[in-house]
Order: sequence, then C-alpha cells, then structure tokens
Amino acid sequence: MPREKLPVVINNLKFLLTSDIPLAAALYELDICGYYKSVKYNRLRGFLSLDWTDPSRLETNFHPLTNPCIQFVTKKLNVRCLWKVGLKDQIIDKFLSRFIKVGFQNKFPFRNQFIWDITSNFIKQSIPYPIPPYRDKVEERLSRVHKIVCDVLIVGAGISGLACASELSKAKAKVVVVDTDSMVGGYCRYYTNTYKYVNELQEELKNQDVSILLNTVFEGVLEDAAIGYNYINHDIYLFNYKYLVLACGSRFLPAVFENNDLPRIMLASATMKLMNQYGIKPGSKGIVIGANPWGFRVASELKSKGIDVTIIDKVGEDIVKRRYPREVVHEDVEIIYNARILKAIGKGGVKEAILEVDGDRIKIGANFISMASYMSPAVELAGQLKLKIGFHVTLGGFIPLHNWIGQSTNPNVYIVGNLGGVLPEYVNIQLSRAVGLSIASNLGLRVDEKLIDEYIDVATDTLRKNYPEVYTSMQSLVDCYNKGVDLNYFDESPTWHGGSEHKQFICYCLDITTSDIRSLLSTLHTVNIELLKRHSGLCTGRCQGKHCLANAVMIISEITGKNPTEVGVPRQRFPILPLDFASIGGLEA
Amino acid sequence: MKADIVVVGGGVIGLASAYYLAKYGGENIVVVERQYIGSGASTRNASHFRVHFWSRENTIFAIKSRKLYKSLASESGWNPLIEYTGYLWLIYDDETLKAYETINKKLWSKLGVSVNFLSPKEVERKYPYINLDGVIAGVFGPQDGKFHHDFVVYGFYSLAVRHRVKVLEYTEAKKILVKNHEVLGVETDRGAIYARKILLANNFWATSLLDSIDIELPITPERKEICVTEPFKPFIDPLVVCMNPEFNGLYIGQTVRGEVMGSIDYPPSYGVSEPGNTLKWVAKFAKNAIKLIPALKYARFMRVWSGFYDMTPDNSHIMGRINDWPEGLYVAIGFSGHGFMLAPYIGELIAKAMLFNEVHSDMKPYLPDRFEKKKLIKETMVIG
Repeated sequence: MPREKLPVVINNLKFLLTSDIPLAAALYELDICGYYKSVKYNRLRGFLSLDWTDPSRLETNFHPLTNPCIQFVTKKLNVRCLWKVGLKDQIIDKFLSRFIKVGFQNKFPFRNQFIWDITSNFIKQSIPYPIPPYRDKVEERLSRVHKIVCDVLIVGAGISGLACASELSKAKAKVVVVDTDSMVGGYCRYYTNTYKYVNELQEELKNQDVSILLNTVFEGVLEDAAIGYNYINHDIYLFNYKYLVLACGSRFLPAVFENNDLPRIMLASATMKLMNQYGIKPGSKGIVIGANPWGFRVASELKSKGIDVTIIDKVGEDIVKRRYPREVVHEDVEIIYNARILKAIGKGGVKEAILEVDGDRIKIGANFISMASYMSPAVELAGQLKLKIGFHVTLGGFIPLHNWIGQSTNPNVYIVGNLGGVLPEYVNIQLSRAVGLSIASNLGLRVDEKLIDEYIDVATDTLRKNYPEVYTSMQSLVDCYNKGVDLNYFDESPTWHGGSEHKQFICYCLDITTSDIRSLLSTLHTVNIELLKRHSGLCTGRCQGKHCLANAVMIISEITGKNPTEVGVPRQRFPILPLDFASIGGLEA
Repeated sequence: MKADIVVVGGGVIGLASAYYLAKYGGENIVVVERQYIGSGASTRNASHFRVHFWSRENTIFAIKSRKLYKSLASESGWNPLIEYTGYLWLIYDDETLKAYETINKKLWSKLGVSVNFLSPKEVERKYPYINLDGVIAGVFGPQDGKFHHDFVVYGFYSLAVRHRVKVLEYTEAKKILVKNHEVLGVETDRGAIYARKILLANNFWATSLLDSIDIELPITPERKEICVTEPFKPFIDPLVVCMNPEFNGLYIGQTVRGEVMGSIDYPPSYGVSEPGNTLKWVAKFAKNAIKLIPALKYARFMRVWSGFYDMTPDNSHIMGRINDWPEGLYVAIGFSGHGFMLAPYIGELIAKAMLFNEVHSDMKPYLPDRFEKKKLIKETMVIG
C-alpha cells in the first residue's frame, strides 16, 4: 500500500503548489478544511474529490498569482477562524442573488434599464477571480513538445487500462498509457482488497515495453492533433495513434441534499485518497452515504482505522441484499436503510446531519460525510469524439454504447473498464484483456483468437452467476449497440435526497442549485441541456460538467418525467482540463 | 400543416424577424429550426456589436439596429446585458491611421458616431494591460459594446412566442415548394408546411434550398475559430482589435462572466460539415494573445469552438427579394459575421417588406440583385 507521511510546510505555499500533494489535503491535516469562497453565495468550501477535476484543485493547483484561495489562505491562516459572513455579503446573499440566480432572466421585477445595469455590474463584480498582473515581463516558457507515435493510446491507467496495455504489449504492439494521477491504479489503489490487482498488473508490466505518462491529461482531439498535457511540468504531447482506448473509468457523484457543499463533505474517493495516499484521517465520526460495494469498502476501511462510521442509504435492505448479495461490510458498521439525508449542519465544516428514516427525523453527529451513493462514467472524451451515448441508471448514467469487446460507434475508439462502479474488478480485468487482444488482432498482430472468447466467457459467466442485475444491464447495453438503437433506462435518481432546494448544490463551480434548475425549467419550458446550459451555466464552470452533468440530468428527469436521453449531453469541447496559454503558445515557435 | 408565413431558421435573425412580423400584424407564423433555437451562428459568436463600418449603408444600418437593441430589455423582460464598452483599434502604421481619420471625417462624424483618436500614452494610461510595442495610435469607438448573445436570442424567442409565433425545433427544411411561380410552402423532415410567404433566415444552409429552385446567391461559409478562458475579474473593457498585419486580425475582449474571449485570423477553411478546431490556430492565438496582453500568460483555455461567417463578395448581407423569384420568397442571409449586431433592424425591415410590400430606403442597397447589377457595397471591415 503506498503511503506517504505528509510533509506540511505551510509558510512555503509554493512548495505545496508545485508538489503532487494538493493544498487541500495539506490544509485538511491542519484542521483547516474550508479555504475558498464559492462564486455566487460566498460560501466557504473545501475539497470535493481531491482529483484533478476537483473544483478546489482547479482553484488551488495552478498559478498562485491568479488564484483567489491562495491569497485567501495566506491572509487568514494566522487567525484560525477562517471566514465570517460580512454584513455586505449577507445583504447581497439575501436580496440581490435571489434575482440573478438563473441566467439573470425575467424573474427580475423591474424593467428599468438602470436596474438592469446594476444587475450586470453586480454579476461582473461578483466574479471572485482576481485580475492577472499587468505588464509583467513575459517569461519565455517554451514547453517541451513530445511527438509520440504509437499503435494504441490508452487513456487511464486504472486496472482496465493496465490489463488492456499488458495484452497489447505482449502481442508486440506499441502502447502508450496516459493518466491524470501521479500513480497508476486509479480508484483500486485506494483500497486494500483491490490494491492486489494493481500490484499484480504492475508486476506483469514490469518486463514489458509500455510507457506510462503520469500527471498527464489527454486533452482531446483537434482536427490536426491529439494532445496530452502534463499539468505539473507543462509538457505537451502530440499523439499519433491508430487506436484510442478509453479506460477513464467513472467518478463518484455528489449526493444532493441541503448544504451538501459544507467543508468535510467529500466524495468517497477523496476519503480513501486522504487515508491511503496521504495518511490523513478524515475525522473521528462519519457518515457514508450509499450501501453499495464502494460504500461498504470505505466504511470498512474507516472502521478498521478506528473511526466511528454509519452507512445510510435511500433504498431498503431487501434491495441492497438483492443487488449485492456477496458484498460484506465490517461487522461493527451500522447501516441505516430507507434513510434520506435532509440536511447537513455546521459552521466551517459539517457537525451534524439530519436524516429522515421511515418518516421520522433523526439527528446524528458526524464530523465528515463521505458520499459513495453513485458512480458515473467519465463521458467527456466520448462526447468530444461524438460517440453514441445512452443512459442506463444501473450502469451509472450516461455511457458510450459498446459491446463486450469494447467496440464503440467509432471504429478507431475502444471502450474498456468500469462503467458506473458496478463491474467487479476481476470481471473488469478479464474484459479488458479481451479488448486488448481484439485490438491486437485488428492491428494484424499474432494473437490467439480463442483467448478473446475465453476471457469474455469467464467474465460473462461470473457476472451472470454473481451479479445478475449488472449482467442484464450490460447485456441490454450490448444489444442496443448491436441493433444501433437508443439505450434509455431511468427510474429514480440515486443521488437526490432532500432538504431545502435553495441550498442543494449541483454545480460546485458556479453554485447552481436544485431550485435554480427547477425555476429554469418552469421559465424555459424545455429540457434541452444545450439551452439549460446556456441559461444556468451548468457544465460551463471550470470543471466543465464533470461533477454536475449526471446529477443535473437525473434531477431534471425526475422533475419533468422526461427521459435522460431527451435531456442529453451538452456538446463537449476541447480541452478537457484548462490548458494554459503559455504552454500551448510555445508550440508556435 | 398550414401557416401564413414560414420562417426557416431559428437563430437571432429568424426569431427577430418572426417577432416583428407578429408585431406588425402578421398571423399564423411558424419558425422551423434544424436543431434547438440559436444552435448555429447565434450561439457561436463573439457577442460584441459595433456601429463603425467602412461603408455608409452598413453604418446607418448598425446605428439603427443599436437603437432597437436598447429597447429590447424593457420589451422582452430578458436582460441582454448590453454594455457600451467600445471597440479599441490599435493602429501600427500611418496608412491605416490616415484611412481611419478620413473615414471618421467623411462618414462617422457626419452620422454622429465619431471615434476618439488616442495617442500611445493615452492608450497606456487607459488600458495599462496592453503591450504597446509598435502602436502609433488607438482608435476608440465609444458607441460600440457587447451583450450576452444567449439572452438576446431568448429575448426574441420569448417575444415571438408571446406574440403567438409557433417555433418548431428539430425540424429541418428540406425543400421549398413552388408552383406557377409562387411559393406553396416548405417541406420539412417532419412533413410539409404550406404557406404563401417564406423567409429564409438560415445562414449558409439557405443556399442549398435556393439551389433546388435554381436561384444562386454568392455565399461562401468561412470557418472561424474562437475560444474563452477561465474567468477573471473584468479588466479588458473594450474589444481590442489589433490592426498589425503580423497579428492577422487578432481581437480580444472579455465577456460579462469574466471569460476572456478572442480569436485570430487563420487561413480559412470552407465547407459546412460540423466544424472542429485546429492546433495550429490554438497555438497561434495563444502566442499572439500573450504578445498583445502579457497578463494573459496566466490565462488558460477553457473551451475552444468554431462557427461560420457566411461571406458575400462585398461582406454585406442579402435581404429582401427580387421579382424574378417565385412570389412570396424572401431571404435574410449572408451576414459576413455581422448578423447579430444587425438583427433587430433586419427583422423590422424584412417584416415590413413581407407584410406591406414596403422596401425601405435602408434596405434597397441589400437587395439580392446587386451582384448582377454590379452595385456592390464597399465594405472591407470584417473583424476576425
């Protein structure tokens, strides 16, 4: 298990910024868990996922000069209390923000141009990001450009990416793997029982010729280039590949309830990363939302480290037992079924949570909440490549259509890996190997074709026997791919809990709440995501919808009764992670 | 389906026209849109407007259009977030400066929209973020400005709907139905819509519809790439247009949400397949943007996308009809990148033409037969 003791040098913020350890984790250990102010409501926020997509990391991990929260932290660090709501902010919060919430549209009661101007001004002044320094001497930062020619480019070095790479490289294909994290293994390296798969695959790859580029985002495909960007040392990679394999896995989605943005409310992946990568305990008493395999894993891990933890889930015990008959949780962990979380309470960090269990309201104390209720595939690359995308709630929401050997609607793009966190690791590896072999045979390399069927048979048999619900969902996905029809299955949003809708945050980048969405739906009379996006700002924040899209769509579907595919995925654009001018400008020279 | 008037194209031109048609008494109006409203150029533009053009006709047109925009907010209840932040042209050589001085004297000041000439020192004082290497003067047009394009489109949409205009999204017009030199309607992929009057406001796509009834208009789509960065607090007030030939028509502005937005000329590509972006453009823009505004080295691309300018030989739009055409067929296309700024006045004029057969004197120079008659408009100012 990789473990690093965290060297915290708080006076030397630059060190923290340039190193791999996010500022967020460093501050968390110092018991400073909220450190940046949200855009519209001036709420105190901490980290959400600790991944590269985290709104807090997008704020903190880049240039200190244009970075609001660095300045905020340096100013406030001496006084332990971080931020008090000023009177001015309160007034703005209470009055003005009510009117300009949704696309500043006609909810505004006055039609006087003067008032409109004030609104525009207010919007402009409430942008929290500072002006970059003028007339600075331009540092010549010519980024190093690497041109990489390979047979197969694999995006994502999780277990499926590695398994696929291993098979391809055994067949003597030239393989390159890129991953946004600083280590291989994806989510699986955070958990003791799944880490063994990562270990095995790493051993397997040791003697093979596979290059793995870490800290590198595959930014997407332009007409004349496919670009990778190392966001630590700003190297640019120009890829030339024959096949592209998307093994980007899935992400946890935030649960939607009142005050779901308080500091110390985090995604399950962040809890695991805190504990198993940075060696920091997330708290002393916590709640895990979601009685599913990952929820059980997080809870067991927390319990084994002596942290008091309760699992809650919206659904009943019978459903959980049916879906995950083989999953077990640490025996001392209490599970509350039929429980919806209505509200989190606390100043500068969560202290209590109010639950509704079978119609009764109960209060439980907790100093952190870990959200594992749902995982949704990372579809932004699939969207950019214009693959056909369907929706299946059991498989994690939006999924690019594909078959068992990973073929997608684009003949040069293959899809492997865990969609929706539902495929067990063992099955995942078997399927990924099959995909690797079938690509190798497409490349004209010598492979044992029988092996492909063997791997798939093993995987599907395991699924059919042990996870029948997942098997039928996967089979319907494959059927839709084969027949070329739409996939569309949705019953109820697994992430939407309850409480006051004004403070249920869906988008953390631009502070969009459920009530915003609801009022937008009633003004626009449409569920088209392109229009909703333009009027609310959904999916246009710094993370470009990586945390909000699936949640928003499920909630829109639940409110309107329309199918999620009718709502759709907004057009995904280059780049996936904001790409800085200084690096890409160097290319011209 | 039967209607009195069909408007093909649900962008800002189509919706504005539909609104004015309804406002002036037209009834039973249907707008057909290929995708969702505003899905073409109306959502891919730089959302700035100017009144300064190189030709008299366009300048007058833009001034009147700007006036109409002013009243849009109170009419529609949607705040278009209009701001008169101006355009700033940075001049690098005497010849260009002289040209600006002449046009200001001869045209702009006479029409009441004169520009201010700034010395490099004044430019530096007012806009300290600009790198002034080689700049000999700045030309500032205070009448110009920016708006939020989505709210303009939606403002017109809600106005049109309030005036009982039917807007059919995801309905693609396939063919114009003509019989005995009269239009009968349009055939769409969801059935025919019969109407005696048709307005084509669908940009380049109109040409293929017109081809089928043997009408040719000289429109070429030209791809333009554009980007936004992550937000900053507002610091770039005007739209900075760089007239240095080395910078190839670089322009940079900031949207109301704080995103820095801009583009640079690149050898254009033609065609209307779903447009993408190129690394060459991205790299070129980044490099030159940092040269012009050094602070932008801290900026990061958040999104890049591209759209079309539907260019005509004289860089001005085509509107109205000529008598050779089937009765009842009107067009408002070929905006060469100026459609959004001119939309309300175009809507008003075309509505009057369609309802009362009234060809306003402002509209006459733009009639479709000017290419045959060789009476071109002398417009050369196309930005981006």
